Amino acid sequence: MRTVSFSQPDVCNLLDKDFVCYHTSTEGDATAGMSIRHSPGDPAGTCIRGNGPQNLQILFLTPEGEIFHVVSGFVPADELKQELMFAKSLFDEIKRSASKSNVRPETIVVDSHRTRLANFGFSEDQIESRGLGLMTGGMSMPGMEAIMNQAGQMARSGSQPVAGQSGSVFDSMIRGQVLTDHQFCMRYPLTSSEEFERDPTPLVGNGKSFFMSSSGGN
Amino acid sequence: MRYLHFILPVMFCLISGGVAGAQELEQFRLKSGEDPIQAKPLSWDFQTGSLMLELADGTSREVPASELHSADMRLVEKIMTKQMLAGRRGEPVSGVTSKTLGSDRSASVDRIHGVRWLADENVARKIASGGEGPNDDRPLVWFRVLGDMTGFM
Repeated sequence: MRTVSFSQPDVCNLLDKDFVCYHTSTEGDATAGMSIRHSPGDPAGTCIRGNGPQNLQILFLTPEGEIFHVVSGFVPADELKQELMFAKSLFDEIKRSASKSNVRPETIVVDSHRTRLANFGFSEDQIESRGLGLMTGGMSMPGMEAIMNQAGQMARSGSQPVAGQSGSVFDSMIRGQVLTDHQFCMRYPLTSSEEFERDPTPLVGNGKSFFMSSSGGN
Repeated sequence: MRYLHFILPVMFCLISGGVAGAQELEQFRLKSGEDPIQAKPLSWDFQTGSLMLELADGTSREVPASELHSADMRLVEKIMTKQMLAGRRGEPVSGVTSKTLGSDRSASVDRIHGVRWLADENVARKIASGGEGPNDDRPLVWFRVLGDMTGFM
């Protein structure tokens, strides 16, 4: 994360210009994962999107502290940029809704996440599936199988890859995490940061993920 | 003669401080449309989210971040950064009490990977809602990490 996600100046510019950034540490938190401490000088190891979802959550909030988007685990720079742009666009839409009495901001959040998942190729059943935990990326097993099959089909047909559709063996894990993150926002639209801090398990689960990256060699 | 060694440097500091103070006047615009305030920024109060200003006539005025024009929030962030860096070096910062600065980690401002990072949600929220109207607000990004921003993952 320290060397990969922030490796693109575009990403850092977007973060600095369009967002107000803050960080907290989950060290000591019962729901936090485990990790070997990496120094800033350590070479970056190989990661795929969604690695270490209990070790890192990127949450997007309104200035009132309401969560409208989340990204869990490691995110490569180009995908982080896409997430930032989606979050910025959704935030603008939420703000616009403030002047319309007939549109609830929660509805906008739910609809935006549902549409995005559909654009990523998730079926209605997958979008509505209830999670079973981090081992299956928050999906039911039928949903998991469907996604694995779909990823393979898309890879074979040469369709345009989107998040977790590169045809690699990790696709199902990546897409599982993407689904989990969006489903959280749909089930808990605009939940407060205080509420999330009190109980982050709806997003991170109760299990323990362990993260260690290695560049090999030394 | 021994006292002169003490008094002269003190006098020099007072004079140079006064001149510097006059040169450091900044213009702060307010959302209310009131005339901009010409003042020297003294400190940022992390507890109340207010900026303490020293006006040209020597009096002080406290302005909450929520009343400042969005364009001037960048200036406030610079002041916060300067204040924290001075605090970390153990240097005295004008107008800043140990209560507002101290060793409170939550108030720290870091620039990592070219991005300005705060370590306190309340401060971040005040800055995010520092716009002139709803259209000037910025969203927050909260990195909830195991460890710190330089070593995690």
